[in-house]
Amino acid sequence: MLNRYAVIQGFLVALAVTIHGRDAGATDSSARRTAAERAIRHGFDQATVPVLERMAGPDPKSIAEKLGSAFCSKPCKPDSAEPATRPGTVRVRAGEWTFDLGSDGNAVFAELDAHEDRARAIALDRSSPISDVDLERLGRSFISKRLVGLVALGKEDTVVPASVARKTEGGTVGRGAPAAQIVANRIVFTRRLQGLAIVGGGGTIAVTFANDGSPLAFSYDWARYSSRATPQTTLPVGDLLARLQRVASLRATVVEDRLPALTPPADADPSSAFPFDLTSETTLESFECGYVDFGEPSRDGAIIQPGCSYRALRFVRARSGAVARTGFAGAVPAGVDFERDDRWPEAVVLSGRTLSSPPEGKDAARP
Amino acid sequence: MNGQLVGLLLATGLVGCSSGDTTEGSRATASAPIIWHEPLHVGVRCQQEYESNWQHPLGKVWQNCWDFGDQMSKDNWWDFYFNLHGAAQPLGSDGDGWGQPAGAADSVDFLFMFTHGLIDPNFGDATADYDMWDAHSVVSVRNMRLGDNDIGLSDLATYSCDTMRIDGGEVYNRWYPAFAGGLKIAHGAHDNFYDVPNHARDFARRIQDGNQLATAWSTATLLAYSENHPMTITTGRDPSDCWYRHGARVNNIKYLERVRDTDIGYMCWSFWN
Repeated sequence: MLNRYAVIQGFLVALAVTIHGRDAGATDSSARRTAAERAIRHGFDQATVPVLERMAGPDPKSIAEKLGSAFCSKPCKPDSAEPATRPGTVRVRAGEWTFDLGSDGNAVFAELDAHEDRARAIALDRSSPISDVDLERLGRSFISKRLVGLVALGKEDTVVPASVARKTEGGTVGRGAPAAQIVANRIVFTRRLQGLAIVGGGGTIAVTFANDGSPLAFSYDWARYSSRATPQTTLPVGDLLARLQRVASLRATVVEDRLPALTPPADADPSSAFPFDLTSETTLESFECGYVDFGEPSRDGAIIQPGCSYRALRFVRARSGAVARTGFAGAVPAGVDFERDDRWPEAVVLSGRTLSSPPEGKDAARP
Repeated sequence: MNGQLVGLLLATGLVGCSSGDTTEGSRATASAPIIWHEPLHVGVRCQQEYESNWQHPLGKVWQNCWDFGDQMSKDNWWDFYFNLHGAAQPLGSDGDGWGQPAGAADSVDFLFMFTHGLIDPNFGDATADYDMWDAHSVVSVRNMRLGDNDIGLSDLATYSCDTMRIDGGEVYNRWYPAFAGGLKIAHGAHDNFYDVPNHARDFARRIQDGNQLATAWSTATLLAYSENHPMTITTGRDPSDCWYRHGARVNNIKYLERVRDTDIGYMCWSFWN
């Protein structure tokens, strides 16, 4: 094993790819950027949006059988057990894969054995990362061939590429220029249901590929929903942004009367609306409206209401001159009158209630 | 098996823990871990709000920090759960040997922190700061020397932005002082981490499941929020040694040789972006 690492590292040093420039971070797809630009200008297209309920998925035995037939190279009988670290869930071993099944039957997290070493070894031969276009093609192929029967794609579903990210390994001898190499490629798809996005973390499929296109890991959260009789009337976009601004101020404990009035970006403005100033210190980086489903286990049996997810940054300059960024994310309810949901922090604080909190850390002794 | 070991240790009083002290967390209980390992000493130090609002408050700190300690306590010794009031010294080289009552960094095998982190521009990307509760108090990575006192820290995990930023090419310079004392592995972020729930307990669970510590960190933080930027750094005598140590798990981290000062021949890292 050590020899292999030595060879790999020699290769990395030979590449001598110096890392320059600011990290781009996970890259949002054009579809997601378009959705965000539309959401910050228009909010919801629909005046009313149904309230959904997240239904229980298939039983673990049924899922294990499907996983076995999809991921064993030859016929195998998957082993199932309850992991000590996650009571109430099921862990399935099939072939070279381990699968953690979510508690409501709608979510799976899976990894190939020794995927880190495999990714590194494959990168020796195929040092080029997979392009975004090929990553989407590989991802869609994986969903249609390997997850058939597991991820139920209904006629009303659309699978939308949301973001790509890549794993880089690097190192340096002393203070020399660091070498780096991409070893794995991850794509996240999100879900549109009857044209409305599922936001908040549920309704996703993420697949990680080695540089040769072989899968290393995947996860999905893909529930069936039932619709309640009474829909919710959605707020206009100006009120949605004001609600988000209020949440941002509550999270920063800024006095409310100091908040500036917000005007949604104009339709005619062709430039990106992001970053969008929410307050003097806070910028909105992304905004997407749809059904808010935080995914298993947070949403087990929960109601799914309309809302808008957000990603924001807050900046503060310290005495040293350093600028600290606080990244925060979540979702605000979009219904004029939304239902009580104690597992949705923004819904709790906007209702004037207080979030329950575990014990705070205590003071340590001072010598 | 570990539960039996813990039970045996408790019964014979070999671990010398004080029971019922919730301030300092709970002790290991009989629970069946996926992978057997000698219980680690675990410390948790976090800060959600800051003196006179000198830094913006965070929202999910106590929940995540409590979750981490609570989960790790199932097969490890959760030795303390402290805030970051007056913590610059016990986390820095001046006081990291002050022991567990002071929440000192070298008094545990594994330290989990959650607070603001940032690059200090006064040192040209060459150091990063962690914010303490006290107004304008920070502990700088350049003032850390971990792993050479007391138990000696093996793993430092910080849910803080930016401290492992790579774009300035200063990762080695910035982190060498902390590793020079023999620290084995550090987890952090090379850009933003978002103040979101549900990452810390998942991190602990993935550690207990026997995943590589680096993978446990990246998977838990990415699943919690896909825009997070996790990174893990290790050092070694040479590249082979470094990558071997990068694959450390909960059952071998304690036994990896400490590599200190001029014995550090290579620094390696992995990150997602």
